[in-house]
Order: sequence, then C-alpha cells, then structure tokens
Amino acid sequence: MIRNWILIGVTAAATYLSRITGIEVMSRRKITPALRLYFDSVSLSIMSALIISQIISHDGYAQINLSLPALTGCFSAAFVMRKANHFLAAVSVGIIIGILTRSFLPN
Amino acid sequence: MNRKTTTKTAFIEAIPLALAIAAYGISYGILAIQAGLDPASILMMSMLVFSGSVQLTTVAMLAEGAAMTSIIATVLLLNLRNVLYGAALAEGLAPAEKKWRWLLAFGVSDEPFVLGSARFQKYGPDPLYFGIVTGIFYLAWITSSFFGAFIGDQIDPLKWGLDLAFPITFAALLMPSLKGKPAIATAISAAVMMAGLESFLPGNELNLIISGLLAPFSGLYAAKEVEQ
Repeated sequence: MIRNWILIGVTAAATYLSRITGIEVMSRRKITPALRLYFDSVSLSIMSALIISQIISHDGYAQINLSLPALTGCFSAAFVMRKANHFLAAVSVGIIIGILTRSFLPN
Repeated sequence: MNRKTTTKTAFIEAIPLALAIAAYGISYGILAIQAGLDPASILMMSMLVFSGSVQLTTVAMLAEGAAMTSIIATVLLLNLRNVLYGAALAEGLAPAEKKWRWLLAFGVSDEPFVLGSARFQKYGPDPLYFGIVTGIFYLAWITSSFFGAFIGDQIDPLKWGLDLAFPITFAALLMPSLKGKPAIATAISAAVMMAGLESFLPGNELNLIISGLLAPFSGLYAAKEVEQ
C-alpha cells in the first residue's frame, strides 16, 4: 500500500517536472524565425506520428497490423474537413465510417 | 477572439477528445483494479499524474510485478516527449502569469498539446483556450478512471468506436494546418518515419520522439527551397 503511494508520488513529480521544464526553459528565450518554424513543424510531425501510431498496431514482436476502421475513419474525417471545414462534422463522419468499416470489413 | 467565443470553441473542439479520453480512463480504472490498486489510489493517481500513457504503463508493470526502479525509469522515458511538447507550447502560454503558467503546465500532454498547438498556430498565444481544454480533459480523465474502477468491464469502448476518436480527431485537426510545402513535407516525413520505426522497433516509446524531432527538418529544408 505504502509502496503504491510512493510510486504515485514519484510518478506525479517526474511527470510534472517534464511538463514544466519545456515551458519554463523555452519561455525565457527569444525564439528565432527558424526555431519558430521548427516548433510549429514539431506539432505537425507529432500529430502525424500519433495518427500513424493509432492506425498501425503490433503484436509485441514484428507483426504490424493496419487498423482499417481507423484508416477509413481518418481519411473520411480529413476529406470532410478539407471540403466543409467543419470540425464536429468531420469527426462525426469519421467515427461513423470507422464503425461501419469495423462492422462490415474483417480487420 | 473574445473570451466567450474562445470558451465555446474550446468546448466544441475538446468534447470529442474528452470522450476518447474517458474511454481510456475507464480502461485504466479496470486495469488498475486488476493490478491490485484500491479505488483511492486509482483516483489519486489520476488527479496527480493525469497522463494516460504513464498511468496505464505503471499499472500494467505493477500487475506484472515489476520493480519500482524499472517502473520509474519507464515513466521518465515516457515523459521525455512532454519536454518537447512544453517547448513547443511555451510561446502560446507565455502571456499567462507565472503562477497560471505553472498550473497550465499540468496539461502538457498529447491531447491538450494537439489542440493547443493547432490553436496557437491559427490565432497566436491563447492560455485561456489551453486552460479550458485541459480542464475538460482533466475532469473526463479523473471521473472516467474512478468510474472504470467501479463498473469493471461492462462497457466495450470498441463497440461505440471510442477507440477511433483519437486518430480521427487528430486527422481533422491536422488538415487545416497542411498548407504549403514545408507543412506537407513535415507531415509526410513524420508519417513515413513513424511507420518505418514501428516496423523495426514496434511499440518503442522513442519512436514518437524520434519522428517528432527529426521530421521537422524536412519542413525546414522545404521552406529553404521555397525561399530560393
């Protein structure tokens, strides 16, 4: 029991320190245009990488699986967003298409 | 944009992700009970840590009987990307007073980062927006993890498509930012890099960090090309 509480405390402290470090270190520095472009691009790259990590899954070894529901859902959401530029509609359509894909196509 | 509009936008953009976070929270609660944690510890961990990847990994390792040192080492590794997120968000949160910035730092994680950085790129610094989305996610996380600890495995997130909410929301958020060669080059590089790394090192926590750090260089290169 005490071990768990210590673990929770250490985990909380380590996580918060990692969060505040980036913000406080960078907020004191003047950001050059190149650095700004880099950080703007970091958000794009992390987002893209997160999408890919959610679309592909692995069995813990070398076998990579593609999640068709996630893939069709993402494409549908991206398409609606591009055409209609409506966030809620894009997410709703994406999830519906994803669920339908899961229902009708074996993964 | 005024406060009312900012608040409304924050709610509209955060709710789909909050549902996905709640699905993860329920999973965490169920796993934590199975790992032998009591409901008070489960709730306290969600309130103090507020990180899905860290908490789910910690309870999974506890369930396997892992040593505290290896759990903490894994937590440090998992948290590496928060430094990157914080650095990218720093300018957008800079207008807030230090005490508020230190409070907002609590929200530096995957989902608030995605929403916050997209918002800052479009409208400039906006600590209020970041605070609202973090608050929504925080409430979703602690209530769902506590709920998960009590209801067990009676809800199937797959049946309701809640597991799809993360990638689909990210895809919808990404689209408006994909304008110009540098942005497109960065996004494609990151996707290819992540897919490649996942093929060779499946499930490695560093894959996201490596892709996130290296892919922007292709964007910088593309920007240089455009300038010339």
